[in-house]
Amino acid sequence: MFYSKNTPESRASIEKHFLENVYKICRLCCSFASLLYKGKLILKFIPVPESLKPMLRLCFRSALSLFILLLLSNVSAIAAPDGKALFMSNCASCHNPVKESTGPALKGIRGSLPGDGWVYKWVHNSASLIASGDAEANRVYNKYAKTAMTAFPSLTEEEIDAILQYADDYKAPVAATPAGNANSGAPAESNTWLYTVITLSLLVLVVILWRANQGLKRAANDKENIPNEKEIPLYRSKLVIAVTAILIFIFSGYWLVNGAINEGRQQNYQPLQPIFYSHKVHVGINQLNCLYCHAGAEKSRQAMIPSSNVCMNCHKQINEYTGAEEHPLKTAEGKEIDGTQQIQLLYKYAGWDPVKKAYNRDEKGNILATPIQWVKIHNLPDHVYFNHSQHVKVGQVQCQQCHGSIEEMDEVYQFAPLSMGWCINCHRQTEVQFTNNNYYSIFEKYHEELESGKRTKVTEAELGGLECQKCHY
Amino acid sequence: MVAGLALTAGLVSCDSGNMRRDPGHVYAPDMTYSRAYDAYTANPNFEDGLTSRPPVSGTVARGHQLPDHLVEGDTSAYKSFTTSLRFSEDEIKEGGRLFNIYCGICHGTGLDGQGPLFNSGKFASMPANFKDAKYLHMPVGQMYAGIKYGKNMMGSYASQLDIKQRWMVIAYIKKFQSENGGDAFTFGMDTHPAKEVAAVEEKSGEM
Repeated sequence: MFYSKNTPESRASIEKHFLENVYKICRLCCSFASLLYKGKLILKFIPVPESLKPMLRLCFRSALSLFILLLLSNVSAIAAPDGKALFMSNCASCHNPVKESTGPALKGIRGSLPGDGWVYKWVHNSASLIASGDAEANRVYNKYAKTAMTAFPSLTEEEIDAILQYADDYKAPVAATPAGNANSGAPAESNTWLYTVITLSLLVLVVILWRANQGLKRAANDKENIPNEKEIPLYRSKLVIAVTAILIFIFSGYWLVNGAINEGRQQNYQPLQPIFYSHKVHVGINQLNCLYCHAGAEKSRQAMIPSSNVCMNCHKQINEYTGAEEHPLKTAEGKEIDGTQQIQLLYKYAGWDPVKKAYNRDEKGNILATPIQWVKIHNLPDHVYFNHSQHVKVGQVQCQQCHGSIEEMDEVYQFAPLSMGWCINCHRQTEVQFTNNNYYSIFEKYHEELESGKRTKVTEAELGGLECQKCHY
Repeated sequence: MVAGLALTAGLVSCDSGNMRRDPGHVYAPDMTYSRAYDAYTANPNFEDGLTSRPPVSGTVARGHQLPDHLVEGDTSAYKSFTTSLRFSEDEIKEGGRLFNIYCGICHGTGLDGQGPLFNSGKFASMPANFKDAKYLHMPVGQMYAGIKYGKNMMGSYASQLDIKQRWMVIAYIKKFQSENGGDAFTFGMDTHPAKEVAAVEEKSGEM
């Protein structure tokens, strides 16, 4: 057989390839045969002018040669090693065709390598090539942080060529565009302006008409010698003064009370962060789980703000923002943000050198990183105790219930009011996941009642969720 | 009329910007801001200014597993390293849940290295395919070292997964591999743990 790495994947892939090619050839043969047949029929039965016949013949001949060419190309595709399958099963975990990774990018690398089958020796056993003192081998070894490349003695020269050919022909896949999100950044301009202007002009019209009506009435009265009431200016009219006073009282009272209630609440608070980290890009588009970064949400009071090593788990590789076309980054003020620049900013905090692909370390070997000083968004007062694990792990509450659609926010803002009324309301209404939950196994009475059908659910309020000292102590 | 328009314009402009960059005032600052150092408040008592400290060297938090004494470079020692932990069906399921959260994004929820980050072309190199012959028979200790310290492009997951969780994830992978041509699964409750590994003699301060 022509493949030597006998993994199930490469075998499956090659077999699939083979079957596909056989199918293609059969289909081509059939269609060509029918074409020829039809062509002959046309020539035979339909009167074609003599002058056109040579041209038609030429057409058929070229079609025939094209067919043979296609056939040959397919046959050669079957016979040659499948570079892609070989690459995927042997090389892909350390190499990328176009990006630097653990090892160098392979696209076009053939041009820069020494000749004389150097590359075959390197792939078959790079360690011995390095040990032999080969200058190029040692240069590569040192450049990529002395990471030894696995030896692949079983790959034939033909297969290595196929892999390099695959790398040379490789074109980077285009990231799938999230459906029609391009315009969602700017919500449609509201019609408030239009409505305000219309309302105001209508009001003005009403006043003008009213005044005109009054004037005409007076004129008519004068004409018929009916005495007019003495006109009192609006600002001295008792009715107007009383109504205005009551309105001022109501509005100022509302404003005052509302302001006092909202004192210290920070709903919609959206601070500027030291790095423009978009939750939409990470969670919404790239499908990261919330817990990946906020691993503490299940284990402790704090959800945990990830330290930069967690960022670097992915950003060691991802060093540019490629989604600028589908999802351009913008601040709430509309300022455009360069995502790649923000990743560079992360590298500075994390102490990562993107050129050397290594952390900057001091003489003791400690990474020279500085913490990123994120601005806290959800600020509960110190006199309130809140525990994430209690809600996420025990209560099985979804993150979005309190934090809103984080997966759609570029910049996170405080979604919920985080007021006491808001907490209490949820404690009153939410049905606790009571059965199959060890945490609540001591509430025997409720379990009995649930079993006997006396009650259908248990709310948090019934477990003491309204008691002051549950949260204030 | 002009004044009325201007007033309305002012009100509307105040209303449209619903987001606020400013947290606003608080009613009782001494009850709002903790005087004690909280997890993320700056702390002048330490050189690095952080309140959250790593565990004191030689201590183990209550309820946590004993740490191993090996260090990052002990590749060959890690190859024979293992655990005495054995897992129930539920715990292996939990391992699967953890795998999907922390590992699936790169290694794929099918454990085939085809995670969303690789499939979308964002990753230069393909994450390990656990069905591949290269990983089917990989010693568990080597996997453990990979999770704890990272390997090649993979970073360390020590800050996200505690020791038991790491082994639960490994048990999940090994269980999956045993059903896909790998070695027999030995971390189930029904298999007796091998002799206690002498990994607890020296306890480093690491988790």
